Amino acid sequence: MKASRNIEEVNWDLLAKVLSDEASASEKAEVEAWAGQPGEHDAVLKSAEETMKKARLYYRSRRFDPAAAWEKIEGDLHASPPVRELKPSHREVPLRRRILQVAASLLLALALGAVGYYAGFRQHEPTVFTEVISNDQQVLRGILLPDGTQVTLNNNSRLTWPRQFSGEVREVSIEGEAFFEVHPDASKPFVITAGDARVKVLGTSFNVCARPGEKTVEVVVETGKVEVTAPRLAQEPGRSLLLLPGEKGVLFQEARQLVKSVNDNPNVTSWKTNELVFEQKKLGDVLKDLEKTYHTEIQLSDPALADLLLTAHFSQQPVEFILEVIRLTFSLELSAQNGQYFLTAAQNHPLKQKP
Amino acid sequence: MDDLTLFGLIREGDREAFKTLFHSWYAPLCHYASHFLNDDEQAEEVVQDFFVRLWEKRATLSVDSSLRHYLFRSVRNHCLNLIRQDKVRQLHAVRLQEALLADNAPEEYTLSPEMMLKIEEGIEALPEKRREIFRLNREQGLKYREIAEKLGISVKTVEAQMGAALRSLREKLRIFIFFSFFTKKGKRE
Repeated sequence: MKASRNIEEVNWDLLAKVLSDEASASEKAEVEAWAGQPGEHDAVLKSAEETMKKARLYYRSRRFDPAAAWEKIEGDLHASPPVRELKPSHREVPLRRRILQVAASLLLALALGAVGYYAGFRQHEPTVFTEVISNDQQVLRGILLPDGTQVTLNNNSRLTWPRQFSGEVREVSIEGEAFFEVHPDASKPFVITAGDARVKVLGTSFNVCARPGEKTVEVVVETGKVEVTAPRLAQEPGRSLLLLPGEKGVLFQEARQLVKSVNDNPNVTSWKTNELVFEQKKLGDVLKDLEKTYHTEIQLSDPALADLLLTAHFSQQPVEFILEVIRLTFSLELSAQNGQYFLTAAQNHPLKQKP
Repeated sequence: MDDLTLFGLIREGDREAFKTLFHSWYAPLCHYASHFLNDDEQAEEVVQDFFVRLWEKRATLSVDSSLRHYLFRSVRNHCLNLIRQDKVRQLHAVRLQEALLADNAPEEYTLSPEMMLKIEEGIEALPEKRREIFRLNREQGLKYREIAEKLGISVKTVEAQMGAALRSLREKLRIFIFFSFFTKKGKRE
C-alpha cells in the first residue's frame, strides 16, 4: 500500500523531538525540508503536531475533575426562580484579533503613504531645496539626506534641506518633530533651524520638536553633543546651551528663555520606536504620551482620573490594546467617537472613594 | 443534543441538562481560566462560581450566538475582575497585559468528549514505561533530559520512546484529527 510505504519513511523519533521543542536548529531544518517534499509528508507532520498538542491538552484538562467540582457546587444550585437578567455578548471578534487587523492595515497604509510620497517628490526634484511633508497620520522613516544623515519625520511635519550641502555648514529646517541621526563630519557642522531655535551638532542623534503654534521648541539628545542657540535672544547671556545625552533643551519662544534640564520622559522618541515605558506615571501624562505616539486624541471625563498612577511597559502594541489595559486597570469605560477616545469613570468607581 | 436544545432545557430548570453542560465544559474553562490567573485552584473557584451564577440566572438566559463563545467570554470577564480586585494595584497593568496576551481561542482549550476518549484509549494502549515517559513530557512539560534523570535511563531511550508513542497515538487519532481539521474551518467564529 502506498500510504503505509510513506509512513515507513517517517522518522518518528525526530518528529517527536521537534514537536517537543527538543530539536537542534539543524534537526528542525531537516524536518522542514522533509515536510516540503511531495507526497504526504506535510500532512503527516501536521497530524503529528496535532497529536502532540491534543495529548498535552488531554493531560492538562485532566487536572480538573468535573465530577468532584459538581459535588461541591450541587448544594448551591437552588430551584428558586432566577432574579436578574443576563445578556450574553453578541458575536464580537475577540479584541486581540481586531487589534491585529487594525494594526496590520495601519502599517500598510503608513508604508504605502511614505513610499508614495517619497517617490513622488523625488521625481520632480526642486531647484534648490528639497522638502518632505508628512500628513496627519504619517511617520516617514529613513529619509536620507545628501550627507548620509538619516531623519525620521513625525506626523504633520515638514523637513527642508538643500539638494547639496555646499556651504560651510549643513543647514536644514524643521517644522514639527523629527529624530535626527546626523552623519559625523567635524569639518561641516550640521545646523537645524527649528522655530526660533538653531540646533548645531557635529555627529549625534537627537529629537527635535518645534510644532507651529506651540510655545516651545524642545531638543532631547540621545547620543553625542548638541548646541542649541536662539539667535533672536540677541546678546543676552544664556542664548546658547550645550546639551549632552539625556539632556533636554527647551526654548520658550514668547518668554525668550532657553532652559536646560534632564529629560525625565523616556517616551520622547516613542513616536518613532513604538516603545512606551511608564513608571508610576500620572494617567494624564500617560495619555499625552499616547496621543503623541499614536497621533490620536484621548479625553478623560473627570480631571481627578488624571492623577491615577500607571506602571507598565508596552512594546509595539497598538493604541487600542494599551487603552484596553488602562481601562481594565483602573475600571474605566472606553468609547470612541470621531477618531477620539474617551475614558470615563465607571459607575460606582472604586477609585473615586480613594483619597 | 446540540447546544441550543441543551440551553432550552436548562432554562426550564432541567438539572440533568445543566449537569451535562457542566461536565463537558468544566475542564476546558478551568484550563482557560488558569491561563489568566496562573493558579489552578483559583481557576476552579472562578469556574464553579460562574456555573452557580449561571444556574441562578438560567430563566432569563438567552444565547443567540455560540454557546462556547459565551462561556469563554464570561469566564474571561470573571478572571479579569478577579485580577482587578488584587491588593497591589500597581501590578494590574502588567498582569492584565500578560493575561490579555495569553488569551487564546476557545478551541485551544477544548477537547470533544470523543477525542478525549480516543486519546485516553491511545494512551492506555501504550506499554507502561512508554506511557510514563510520554506523560511526564506532555503533562508535566519535562524536558527529555529531566525525564532521563528522573527515570535513570538515557536521553536516547527517551527519544526513542517518545517517537514510538507519537507514532502509535497519531495512528489512533489520525482519522479524528483530519475530521476535526475539516470541521474547524466551518465552525470558526
